[in-house]
Parts: sequence; C-alpha cells; structure tokens
Amino acid sequence: MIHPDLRVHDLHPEGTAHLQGLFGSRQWNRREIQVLHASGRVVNALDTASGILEDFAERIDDPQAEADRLLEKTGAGRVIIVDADLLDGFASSLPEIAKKNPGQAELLWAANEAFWNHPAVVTSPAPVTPEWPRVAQRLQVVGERFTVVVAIYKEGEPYCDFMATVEQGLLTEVTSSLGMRPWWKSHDDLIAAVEERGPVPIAVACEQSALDDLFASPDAVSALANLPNHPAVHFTRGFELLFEEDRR
Amino acid sequence: MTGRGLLIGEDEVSLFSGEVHYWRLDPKDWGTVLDAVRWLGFMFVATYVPWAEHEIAEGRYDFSGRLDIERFLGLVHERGMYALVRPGPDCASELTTSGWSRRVLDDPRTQARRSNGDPYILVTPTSWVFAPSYASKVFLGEVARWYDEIVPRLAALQYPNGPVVACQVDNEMGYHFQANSYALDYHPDALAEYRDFLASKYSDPSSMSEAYGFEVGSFHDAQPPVDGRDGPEAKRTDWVEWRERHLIGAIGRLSAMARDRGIHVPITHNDYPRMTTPMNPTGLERSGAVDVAAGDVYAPKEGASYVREFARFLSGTSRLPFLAEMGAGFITVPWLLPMKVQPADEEAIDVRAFCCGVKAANVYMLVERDRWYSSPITERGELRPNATLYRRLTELKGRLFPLARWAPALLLENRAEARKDAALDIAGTAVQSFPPMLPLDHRLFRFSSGAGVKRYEQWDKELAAELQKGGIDYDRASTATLPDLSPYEVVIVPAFDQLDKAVVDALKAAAGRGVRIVAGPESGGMTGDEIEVISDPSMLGPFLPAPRFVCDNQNIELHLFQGEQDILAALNNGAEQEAGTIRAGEAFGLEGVWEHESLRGEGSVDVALRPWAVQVWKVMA
Repeated sequence: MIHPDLRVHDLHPEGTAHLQGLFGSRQWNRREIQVLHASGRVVNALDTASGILEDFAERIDDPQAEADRLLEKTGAGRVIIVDADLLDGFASSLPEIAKKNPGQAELLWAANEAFWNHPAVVTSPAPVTPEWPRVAQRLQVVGERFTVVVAIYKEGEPYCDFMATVEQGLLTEVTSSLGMRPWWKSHDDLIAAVEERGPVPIAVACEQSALDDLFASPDAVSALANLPNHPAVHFTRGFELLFEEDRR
Repeated sequence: MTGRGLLIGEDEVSLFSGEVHYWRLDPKDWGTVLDAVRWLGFMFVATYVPWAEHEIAEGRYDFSGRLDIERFLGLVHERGMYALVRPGPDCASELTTSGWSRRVLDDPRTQARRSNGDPYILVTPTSWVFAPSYASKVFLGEVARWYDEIVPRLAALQYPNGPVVACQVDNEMGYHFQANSYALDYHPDALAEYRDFLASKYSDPSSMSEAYGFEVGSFHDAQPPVDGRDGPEAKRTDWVEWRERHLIGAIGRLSAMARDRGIHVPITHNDYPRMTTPMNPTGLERSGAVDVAAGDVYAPKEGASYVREFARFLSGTSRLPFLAEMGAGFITVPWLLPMKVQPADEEAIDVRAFCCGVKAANVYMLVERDRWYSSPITERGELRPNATLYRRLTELKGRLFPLARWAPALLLENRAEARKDAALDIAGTAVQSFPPMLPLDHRLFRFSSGAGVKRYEQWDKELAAELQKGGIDYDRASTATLPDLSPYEVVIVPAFDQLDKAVVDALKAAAGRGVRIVAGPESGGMTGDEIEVISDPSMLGPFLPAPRFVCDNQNIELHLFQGEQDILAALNNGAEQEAGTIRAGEAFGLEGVWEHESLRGEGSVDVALRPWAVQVWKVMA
C-alpha cells in the first residue's frame, strides 16, 4: 500500500499538525487490560491507562473466561491475555512473512493477523478483521497512476488540502497544494487544477469536523466507507471504487 | 572541546547547530537555506551523510548534484560557518533503510539475531529492514568500505581547511530502540564477545562457577541467558552488563575506523533519551570511544519533567552536555509514528533544556525536507513564523554560555540495581521494534518479582523530590562509571547491597576531598565518618546546601546561573498557571531576558508563570 520511497513534502502545517494529533489519539489512547502468563502463572498484568496491576490474581486457569470477566468488570475497550510460553512461535513466523511482504503496511497487517490467530493469544471481544488490506487491494484496480484529493474546510471556509498520488496500488507521494497559489476558493477549483496533471478518481471535500469524527470511530474503514453520508461532507467522488462490496 | 563548547582556533565557541540534509534539498537552494540558517544566529550546521543514498551499487558511489557533499560543505565554509558531519553507518533520519545499504542488510551474515537465531526486523518510517549486528565482522567490514570512501572526503574538509569541526559515528546505536534485554543480539560474533567479557570478568571458569552456582566447563561453552527466568541472577546481570560493554566497544570500533581514515576533530555519538542500562555515557567517553556522548530528545510540553531530568543526566555524565537532536517540527508518517510535538511546544522544551544543564544542541530539523514538516526554515530557505523562536534561542544560548549553572548536588543511579531490574525482561524472542507489530504494551514484558526490585526507583524518585523541596538544582549520573565528583558539594547514592569496590573507593576518595557523600537506606559497604547514611529519603534535607533563591511554591523551580551577570530561571512544569514569591537574603531585582518582565523587591518578588512556561531574568543588585 505504501511505496518504500514514499515522498511526503510541502504539507499544510496546521492541517498536518491536526492530522498528527488524530492519528496519535487513535494509536495510544485506547484503554486495554493486558495480561502475560506462563502456562497459567501470571507474570504481569497491565492496565494501559494506569500501569502495572500489582494486586492481580496469581493464576489464570481459563484465559477466555478470564478475558470475558475482565472486560465486563473493568469497562476497558479490550482484554488481551497472552501465554508467554507459547509466544515464541509467533515471532519466528515474522521473518518469513516479511520476506513475502516487502511493503511495511503488508508486514504490519500480516504480523497482526499472526498475533490474533496465535494459540498463545486470547482476547475479548474477538479481534476485528482488518479491512485496510481489502481497501489496499482495490487501490490497485482504480488506475495505473492517479491522485486522491482531500479538501478540508473549517466553518465553511477553505482551510487546507492533501493530495495523495497512487501508482500501481502504492502510495508514492503525499503533498498539499501550497504551490498552487492563489489559494483555491472551492474544492472544484482545486480538483480541476489537479486534474490538469492527471486523473482524480477519488476525492472528498468536507469540514474538519468530519475527519475528527472519522478518526474517533472505532472502525475507521466503515466510517470512511460511510463518509459520503456524513452531514459535514460537501462532496465526494469515487468512494464506490474503494467500498463497493461494503455498500452492497 | 571544552566543557561548554568547542575550541576552534583560539576561540571557544558555543555549539548550537541546525540540521540541514543537503541531499534532500535542491542544490540551487543550498546557499539560500544556509543564509537563512545564519540569519537565525546559527554558526553550525549538522548533516547526516547517508551510505544508502551515496552507494549506487556495490563499490560504486555518487557524489554529484544533490549528493555533492563537498560542494555543500564548501558553501558552509564560505559563510564562515562550521559543520558537524554524521556519516553513519546508521543515520535513521526517516530514510527508507535508516541509512544502511540494503545490499548489506540482506546478507544473513550481517543480521542481528534473536536468541532462537531469527533475524530481528526493524520497522523504518516507510519500510522495514533486517537490523544489522554491530558485532558482525562482515557488517563491520562493509562499514569499513563505506568509511574508506566517505571519511577521507570529510577529513579533507576539517577545520581550518574546511568547516568540519566534529564527526558523529552512527546514531542511537542502542539495540535498535529495543529495550528488552533478551531481544538481541545473539549473533555468533556477539556471543564470542560475550564469552570474552566473561573471561575478562572472572579470569577462570571456577570463579564463574562459584558466582553462578553451577559448574561452568569453559568460557567457550558459556551459554547466554534468554529470559528473565533463565539461570541465577548473576548470569542474567552479566548479560546485561555485557550489553553495556558491547555498545562501548562497537562505538569505539567505528570511532577508531574514522580516526584511522583521518578524522582528528572531536568524535561524538548520540543515544535516544534514556538514562539507564544499556547506556553508559560516562563510560563511553572515559573509554576513549568518543569525545562526547550526547543524547536526543523529542518531546511535547507534557514531557517537560523528563526533558529536565535528561538535561541533568547529560550535565552529570558528559564532558559537554550535548543534545545532538532537539526536536523542531515533526515526522510526517503519522500512520506509524505520530509525533505529538507542535511548534508551540518547542519553546517549552528547548528553553527548559538549556536551563537544566544542556550546553550544546543541534536543532533537528532546522530545515525541513521530505518526511519532515513544520521546521523553522522551509526546503527553499523561507522562514516560517516559528523561526523567530530560534533567533531568540540563539541569543539566550549566547547569554548563558559564559555562565556556570549552580548545581551543587549529584544524584546517582545505582546501576547494579538497574541491571537486576533489566535482567528480569521476558519474551525477548517475541518483542518487536514497533508497537503495531505486536499490539502489547512494552511494560508487560518485565517479570515482576514482587520482591522490591523497584526499590531503587522509589528511592530515586523520593530523593529527587527532597532536592526539589530544598530548592536544590542537581545533576544525575550513574555508578556504571562515576564522573568527576569534585564539582559537587553533595553526592547522593541509593544503596541496598554492597556497592562495587571501585564505586566505594571513588566515593570515599571524594569524601576525603571534602565532598559530602549521602547513602541510604544502607551504607553500600562504605564506612567512615565522612559518609552519611540515611534510612529514609526524607532525612536528606539537613545535608543539602542553602540555595540563594527560594520560591514558596514548590511547583515553580528555580535554576541559577552564576558569572559576570547572574541569571535566574523559573520553570513551571505543569498544566496549571502557577504563582509564588521568590525570596533571597538580600534586596534584588529581576530584569526580563526571555520574556520582558522586570520585577524588583526588598528581598522578595512575586512571579506568575503560565502552564509549561519558562521565565529567565538577569539578577540585579
């Protein structure tokens, strides 16, 4: 999905900073209970919000039942219980996965799949099957080389934009239209300007608040598929190319 | 090199540089960019020199166009500026292969190994690589070929023949960001080093057998531990200690390669921000591996307290407290590594670092480029609105340069205890280089014995709180290798078991020279009237000197710089507005330096600080 030599340059500063924050909040703010045990003897237990749980039980005899119980008791978003004695096999598979998946995103997805399906791992609720690989696959059939345009408004005024170039299904460049001054008055102007250089089969114009909602959603892919229906979205193009099956 | 800057010709110069990546800029913009750097007050630029960019095929290199580093350094020299060059082999710098040649990383003989023999995968900003082993003779041979090509070019441009005044070897070498003691490196060449270490430590297998509690046939047969439950504690802590020695040795080998090829300016290395094993900056400098063991820090304002402590650590452990990378702007691959640093945070972090002991710094990135954004200077040499901060910072840095920070106390890490803690890591074959590959918190992977192994951390925390309560600024260092203790009035060491004999001897020698040594809760094996033993951190107060200025609000910290014109800094490390009264035993005034607020009182002045703010004043009689 991501070309190893991806170029990221000339971005809109404040808009990029805002996006950084949205990505950050998705990665590090989810509360989970994580327990590591060795054949039932608890080695460590952690609440990602508060730290090591010192008074945790010494043994876990039924990991799945314990995960379900902890989920209900703690109100955490997820409980993960892992048997350290069985975990070696998980890591051993990664070099082979890596060799077969030269892309970073593909490696991360494969590692995640290997983790959630590993017999050492028990979780409650059940893991969500990642949808991004399917989206990535569809990027490959949209076109040989094209640009995705995201135009962002703030309270109805043009604020910033991002343009992503995709070549043979791989993201090769991300930039903003800072070089296209004078600034666009409407997303139509922006898209037309980009189209002079190549096809723009996928585009969205929305208020920043729509992106905030997108990142706040627990299932980002579904939220993205439904973005055209968001009340703060002014315009979309080509979402059916990415999410056709989801809509049927 | 001096304790506060570089000696260039006859002049002692304050080292404050900005990172500029020549190969990521259009060569026609190099001059404009350098002029902007100079306009902000910077006399130094720093740049990586990436192996992966210059090597176009095995044994073939490109130094033309955007890769013409000699021309770039020539432009630096023309402007009367100086350069710090960083030829790797690791450059990180958001490069696809971290700067290493992919050709070399794909050779299994060069790859760092887990205890089960698997190669270790390092996720880079846009890709992944098999991380190299710095013990691998094949890898080091390839590095030597790269150095054969690049180092003579850089050496020819050393001052006064060119702008190069310092050279950094590698970058954040410490096991590829991996904190788990048993994740790597089990490369055969690394294990040979480990066995040599055991042989030098124990001299004969019977001594080792006695320490381990089981028969060790020969050093050649010694097997490394693979987990925090593997074998006796001595075996595990030996492994952790060897990992410290390995880094010093590996950095030393690179340094020697650079020296052999003509580098005579100071050599540096930079670690990422941590203050414990496997890093030993004082040991790194003392071994001769480098002249300066520096550190990097990227932090939002919420990390203010950590930055303060890291600055104190650099001040206590290094000859020249140098932040080799002080974050400005942010990396733009947020799906992997969303940096939270915003331009508004940079002031809170940078001024704080200078007020807490940092004497030299490199702004990373001063000039933005591919995969990095919101730096003070654009790729084309235009100034962004946040650039004025750096002009003000260069002025502040110049003002503090001739002054000495009043830090009468040194708080030591008990490295023996830290090694015991690090030796309890588990699941070393499973932990990964970045969280997305293993969606578990790294804190999970340390065996919790419940036997008080964290006691030294608790003592450290409470001793630091006592110093803060007493209004005492202090430095940090480690018993791994003690720094010169003579600048301090008080040296404080948390001691539980017997301290190493070399540590005891050094502390007692310092006590003999008038330095007050405070240990607790045990004596650590020290005896004599000159050693004070406290059973609780709250007993530290009576052994501390009296500060010249105190604030009645504990949330406002004071830092004093003494010299021809004394400077006082006040820090608010929290998210709330703070107000308090600064008192002294004399009438004094404060004239604003960082913010233009001047205050005067008969022995006291009232101050107010915004959340995370730093205020700096000249002290007026």
